[in-house]
Amino acid sequence: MAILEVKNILKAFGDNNVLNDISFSVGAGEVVAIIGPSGSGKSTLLRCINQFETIDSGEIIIDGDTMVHTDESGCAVYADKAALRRMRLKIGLVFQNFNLFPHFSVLRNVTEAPVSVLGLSKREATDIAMKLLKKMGLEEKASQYPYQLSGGQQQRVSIARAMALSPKILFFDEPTSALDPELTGEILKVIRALAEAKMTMVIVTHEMLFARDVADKVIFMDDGVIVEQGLPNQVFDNPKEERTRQFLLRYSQG
Amino acid sequence: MNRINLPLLLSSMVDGMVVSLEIFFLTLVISLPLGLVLAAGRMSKIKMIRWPVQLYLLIMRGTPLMLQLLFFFYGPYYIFGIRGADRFTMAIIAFGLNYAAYFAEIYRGGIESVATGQHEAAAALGFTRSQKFFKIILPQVIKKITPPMGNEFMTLVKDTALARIIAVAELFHIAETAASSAVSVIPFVIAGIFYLVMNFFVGQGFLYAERKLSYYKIV
Repeated sequence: MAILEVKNILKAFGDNNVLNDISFSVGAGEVVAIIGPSGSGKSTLLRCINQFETIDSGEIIIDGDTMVHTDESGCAVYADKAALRRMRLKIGLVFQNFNLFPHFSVLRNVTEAPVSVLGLSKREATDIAMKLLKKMGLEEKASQYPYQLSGGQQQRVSIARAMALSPKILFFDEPTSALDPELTGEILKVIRALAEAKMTMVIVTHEMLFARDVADKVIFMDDGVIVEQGLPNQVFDNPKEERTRQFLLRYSQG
Repeated sequence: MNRINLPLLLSSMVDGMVVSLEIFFLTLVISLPLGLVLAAGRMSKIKMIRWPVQLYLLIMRGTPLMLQLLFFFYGPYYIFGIRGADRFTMAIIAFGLNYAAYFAEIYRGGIESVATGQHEAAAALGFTRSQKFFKIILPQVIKKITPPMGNEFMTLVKDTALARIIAVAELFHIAETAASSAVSVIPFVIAGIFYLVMNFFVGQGFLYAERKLSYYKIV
């Protein structure tokens, strides 16, 4: 069963169609990489699914629940507030700039949402958090504050923070773009481990080699449309579209 | 020149200082929460709320506090022919309304300087709006606004002297009266020392607060 279904999304800022007829789906345990040049609409797409932006028309279904659909007159109709909140909790999001809470310790960054949002006891939340931090190799950093960590460590904490709510699907918005090249590897390793554990993920990335290696499906976006989607070797080695070919060529040249 | 009865002078000046401190604390009790409400109004997306608040902030920050004190004290009688509250109460109201305007702008600056990513991270994790504000945003705002708040608190200690314009028997009023009857600057010097001591403690308090909040940095 599909965890995420996106059908015919339209989104415009003024006259500018930033998302034009976007459709794709993500099955359980699947890893989908979204690639494409800056300004192609990748981040906007992620922001629409995560309820930071509204769509003009189309349909988004998360784990069988309709978040938004389009009525006969062509207007997007969103689910009610409670349903939207419920759906939001099924989604985890990892940001480009980590966005850890600076005034909370590493541990509290991970436990705060399970306690305040899910109503877990402090003890349960701490157990979950420590297990996750251990997986991330950060259990010794639990009592430190975000400013004391490297970018790579901060990003791993933010992955643990998102995972602590046991989301059905995890989104990554260019998770390595704010990191020094030597720190990129540690994040990619974590994502790879999650993929091996069959975590459903959508990753917006500029790391082509990684996308090819870890993704089950690759989506290439340009100018607000999905130009091409398919298996990694198909998209990377035998792109059907000229635009994809051009993009990959530019990338391989650096 | 009259001889100064120092013990008597000191005891009446201590009384005056107590009144000054009362003005100080009661003003804070009114203006700190009111400032937050005004800041929310100032940041409202609704023009019918935002515009009146902006006008309020302009008037309160754009006219002399001394004028506002006189207006609040004499206004009710001159305009409506009714007696307002006693001079002390009217002074507190004027100070409270005035300082709330300054605090509102400090709060707003603090709130707007919290990165958008913090709001988005909190929303993505499912925090409700009020959880987001009180658990995530406000603590960071408090850290950011502590230094400018220290300035305002110190200014307020000194501004309490303005209450003498409506004859509230605060420290400066007593010093002035004593100085003219004794033809001496000694009461002024003592008053100066008293203000200095009060602000020394205010400064220490803020230093302590800043140290307390230095366990983290906003990255």
